[in-house]
Amino acid sequence: MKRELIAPNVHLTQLPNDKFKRNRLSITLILPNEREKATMYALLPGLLERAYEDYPTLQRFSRKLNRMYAAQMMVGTSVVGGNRCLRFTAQGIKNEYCIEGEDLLLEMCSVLLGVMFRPCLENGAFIEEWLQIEKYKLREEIEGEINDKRGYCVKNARRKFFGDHLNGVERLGYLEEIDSITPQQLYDCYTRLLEKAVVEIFITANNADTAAEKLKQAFGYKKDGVTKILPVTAMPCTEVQTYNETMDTTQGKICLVYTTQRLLTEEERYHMLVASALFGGTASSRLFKNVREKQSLCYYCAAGFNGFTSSMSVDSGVEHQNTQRTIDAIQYELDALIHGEITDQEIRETQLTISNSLKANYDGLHGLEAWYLNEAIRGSEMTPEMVIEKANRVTAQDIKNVLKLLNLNVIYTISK
Amino acid sequence: MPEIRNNILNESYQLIETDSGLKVAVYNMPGYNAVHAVFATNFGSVDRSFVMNGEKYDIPAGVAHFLEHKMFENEDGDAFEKYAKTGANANAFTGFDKTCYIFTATENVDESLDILLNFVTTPYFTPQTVAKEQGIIGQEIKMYDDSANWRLLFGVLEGLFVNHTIRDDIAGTVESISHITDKMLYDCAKAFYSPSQMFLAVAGNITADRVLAACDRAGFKYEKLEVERLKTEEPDEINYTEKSINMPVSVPMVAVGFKEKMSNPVTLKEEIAGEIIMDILTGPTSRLFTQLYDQNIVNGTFEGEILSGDDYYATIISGETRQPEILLGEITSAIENLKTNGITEDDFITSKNAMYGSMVMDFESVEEVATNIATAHFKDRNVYTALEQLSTLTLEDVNSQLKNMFRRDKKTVFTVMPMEADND
Repeated sequence: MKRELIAPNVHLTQLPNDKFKRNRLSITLILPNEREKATMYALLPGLLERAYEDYPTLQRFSRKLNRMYAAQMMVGTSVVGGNRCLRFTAQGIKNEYCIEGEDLLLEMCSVLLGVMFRPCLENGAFIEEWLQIEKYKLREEIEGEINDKRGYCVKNARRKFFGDHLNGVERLGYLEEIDSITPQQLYDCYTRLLEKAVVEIFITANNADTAAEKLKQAFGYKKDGVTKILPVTAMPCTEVQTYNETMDTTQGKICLVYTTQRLLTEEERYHMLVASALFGGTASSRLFKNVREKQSLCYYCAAGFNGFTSSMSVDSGVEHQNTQRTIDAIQYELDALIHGEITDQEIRETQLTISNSLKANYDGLHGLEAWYLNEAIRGSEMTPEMVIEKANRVTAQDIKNVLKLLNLNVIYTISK
Repeated sequence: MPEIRNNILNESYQLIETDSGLKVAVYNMPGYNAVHAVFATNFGSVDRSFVMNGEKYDIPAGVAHFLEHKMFENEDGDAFEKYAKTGANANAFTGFDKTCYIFTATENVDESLDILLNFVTTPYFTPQTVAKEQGIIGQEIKMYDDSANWRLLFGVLEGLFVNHTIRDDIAGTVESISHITDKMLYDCAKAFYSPSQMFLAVAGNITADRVLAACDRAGFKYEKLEVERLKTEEPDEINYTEKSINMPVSVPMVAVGFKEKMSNPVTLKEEIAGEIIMDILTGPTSRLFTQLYDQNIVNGTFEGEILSGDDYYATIISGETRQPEILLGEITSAIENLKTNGITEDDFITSKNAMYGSMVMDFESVEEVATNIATAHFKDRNVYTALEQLSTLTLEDVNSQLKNMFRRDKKTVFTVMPMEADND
């Protein structure tokens, strides 16, 4: 891995690619999130990835990508703790597999930079007609979240958990703000993002000197190194807030959200990695073994810890009449880990599972890049092996201590 | 060892039949950390009737999937608990025509192979464990009952097929699985889980010698067994032309399905040609998609797909829309247009290029390689056959198939509408 600072606030990371069939290039723009810009950020991906100056219609651009052997050009946005990311990714098969001997890596680089820096404009702003189309799509997407009942329950639980805090800014923005956004406002927002954002560029390809040079040149304009990525913040502890929403569903849904109340120390991060996996992150976890397998209460009951907000959610789908019983069972398992016995074997097994899944990061183009991007956002440079080593040192007492920090803030249920 | 080679990728893999009758494929992938193993049987949800050693067995919907769940439990404990000792990430899935037990591991691979080969071939069921699983699977079925996409798919399949078991949900229903007994599971395990019925595909950082050593340790014996799958007679007619249900969804969802008449068994060429036709008709470069997208009639959920097996072939176009009638009209005109004018050389090359790229990409993940080897095996192909067939496919092949597809009287339309109150 080679990582270099190529301009103020712009890093270029090159990852070797001996084994994959595809190459991948990505550019991520990162800025502290702003509640009032959330809807604009959510509109950008659809507008940008549909076309650019060289291929100025959706159909022509899609055709170009298909001609490039189904190369993909994706623009996506995500919320990472208190930060907003806008990521541009181009990936396609390696040059050696191209039938006509094309230099697909360079073509991908041109497309990536074209989409990012040469979007289709009219009167110095985004095209009004296209913006209207993307507004409609965004509205549909926000309204459509109810279609996935499991995801809907988790999202609503997290909304209650974060309230107005920056960590809870909506990735898709806010329905009531969509109509008022103008092409000029959106374009200004985008140019400001290009100017101010912290930039992380990843090249996962061999023999990529020319592509790297093109990417470096493209960011020669960056002069502003002032913007800083926001660090992790934990939500304060509250009394348990209980919400129930009624809906005509066959299955009831449950989501519990816990906070650690304070930031975890560097060592506690690894304690929590093992603790959350043992609690409900694997097929041999306490929640899987006891709530699903022994009590037969559900098909899924899983816990996940979000290191960027220092929060844990547990969710499950159950018979409507078993809702309270399942909530009690989840709480019981957490309590049993804190106050009961944790065997060395359980810990060793969880560590093995973690080690297995972290090493598997090297076997996927996306996994590898995502790992190092997350590390960059966190301001850390840990490799998967370093994290495995830390996880392997975690003891039963470490697990108990870190789980004791969890406070249940929100219970959200969907029932008939 | 018998080797299967491909010159485009400059790669190969080994395919071996062991003395027990078990067939094993090993795809060594240098540089990868992980190994992915798929231990599969071609017993899936569509298999509902079979003859074993002269005796006929009829089983309710959902048995293959139920068996998949129950196989994880042996007399000496749960397979997940055994995998926990090796760190492997294990799972299983049941499809229309196969059941696969899988794991991915970066260490203790030999031990994980031992667990896999052992638990999948050691059935252990009791009335109590069957009853316990009815609770868990009941929840899985109810989870899918709340999924509008799932209901849409099976709504179309039920409309297209009169008797074929493809129309039944893979997991069955709460009612159908209530008839499952431990004896029934033993019978199915005997018929479809003996080594000679199974296939092991392993891809990643591993050699064939290591996989074969694991097969030796498993101590499989050849068992003479005569099993015949009984197919249901399916007429060319469809079951219904349209149906609609209401669910808590924000936007109506529409699916148009066509029952296609192909060879029996369906050939790979028919599958590939169908994929190209669907891409040209409904894919991201199609006039239909780009125009409807810009008119806000469809969104990114719009798609066209082919669903095919040995004796079924359906084309399904689906997506969310607030204007179902307009969408249906546009789909019909786009089909008529394409059938009248035929596919152009330029569209064909563009789509073929894209398909070639997608097929090459499939060889970069240990999971996809092992799974695709198993899928190809059950269709009497190897994992490279599709890539090779694509290069020989001509525009004439595709246009000739197009003429016989999308028959007007073999069409069904299924819609999922928002609940009445949500429409206000």
